[in-house]
Amino acid sequence: MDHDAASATLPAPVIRADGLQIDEHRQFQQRFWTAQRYAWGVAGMVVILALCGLTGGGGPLSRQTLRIGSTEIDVPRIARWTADEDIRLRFGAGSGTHRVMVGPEALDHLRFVGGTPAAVTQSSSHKGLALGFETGTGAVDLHFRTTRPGMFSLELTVDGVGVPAGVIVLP
Amino acid sequence: METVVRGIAMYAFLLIATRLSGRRTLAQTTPFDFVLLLIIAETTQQALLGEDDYSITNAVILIVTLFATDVLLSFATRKASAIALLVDGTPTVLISNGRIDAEAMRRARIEPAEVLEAARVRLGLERMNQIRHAVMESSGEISIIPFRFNDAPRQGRLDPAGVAGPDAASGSS
Repeated sequence: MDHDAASATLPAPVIRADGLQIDEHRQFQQRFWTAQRYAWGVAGMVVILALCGLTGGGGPLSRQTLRIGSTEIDVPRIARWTADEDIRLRFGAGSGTHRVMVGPEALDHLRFVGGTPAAVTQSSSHKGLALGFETGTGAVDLHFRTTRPGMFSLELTVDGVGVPAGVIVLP
Repeated sequence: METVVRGIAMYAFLLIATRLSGRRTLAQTTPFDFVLLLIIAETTQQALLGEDDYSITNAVILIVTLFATDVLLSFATRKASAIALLVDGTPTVLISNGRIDAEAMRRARIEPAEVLEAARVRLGLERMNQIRHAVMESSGEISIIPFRFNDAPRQGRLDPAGVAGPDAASGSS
C-alpha cells in the first residue's frame, strides 16, 4: 500500500512487456545517434579546415599576400584572439627609408608590439599608426597581438600607397 | 565579464562535445581515455583563464561561474524533461528477455564482448544466455539483470548471431 501511495504521487516509468520498468526514449535515442554521426562529420571537417589554415594558427590558407607596387606584404587572413601575429613587408625598392601606415580600423583589433628591425619613427593619429623604417635588407616584420575577435579591414599604406585586406579574428 | 563568458562558453562546449563524442567516453577507464581527459583539462585551462590574468579574483569568478552554471543546468534538467534528455541522455535496452537488440548495440557501438564483461564483473555470469536484460545506462555503464533460478532461458530466444554458444540451444544454463 505504501508503494501504491508513493507511485500515485511520484511519476515513475511504465513497466514494459518484458518486465523492465524503464523510460527508454528509443525514438529520441535514434535521433541522437544520427545527430552524433553528423557531429563526428563536423569534427572531421573542423580538423580539415584547421589543417588548411582556415582556423588560424598557420596553414596554407591562414595568410594572404598583398602587393603595393614592387613591395610584397604577407598579412594574416585568419587570426586568433590574444594570439601574436606578424605582418611581413618585403620592399621591392630594396634598402632605404620606408614609411608604413596601419589604418585605425585595424588598431581596434590589433596592438602593435614592435618591429624587426625596430622602427626609427613611430606616431599615432586619427589616421592610424605611422612607422618609419630604415632597412638595409628591404624587409620588415611588424609584430602585433590581436585584442578582440571580429572582422576588420587591414588598411596598409606603404610609402603613400595603400591596399586593404580583410582579416578575421576568431575567438 | 570576459571571465564569465569564457567559463560558460567552455562549459557548454565541453558538455556538448562529451555528449556527442559517445557516452561510452564517460564509462570507460582505458588508458587512452585517461590521457584524453588530462589533455582536455590542460587545453581548456588557458581558454578559461584568458590572457595574463592569474589573479585570485579571476579564478574565484571562474569557479563560481562554473558552479552556478552546473546548478542552473541541474534545475533545468529537473524542470524540463527535454533538457534532461539532451544533457543526461537516456538508457538503452541492449538485451530484452534474452534477445539481443543488434541495431541498438551497433548504433551504440557496443560489442557483445563488452556486455559479457559487464556480466562477469558485476554478477559473475558465464554466458550470454544467462542474461535476461542488459541496459546501457545514461552514464555509459551496462546494467545486467540475470535470469532468475526459475527463469530458465527458452529455446529460440537467443540472438541470431549465436554468440551464446551451443548451451543455448539445449536450454541448459
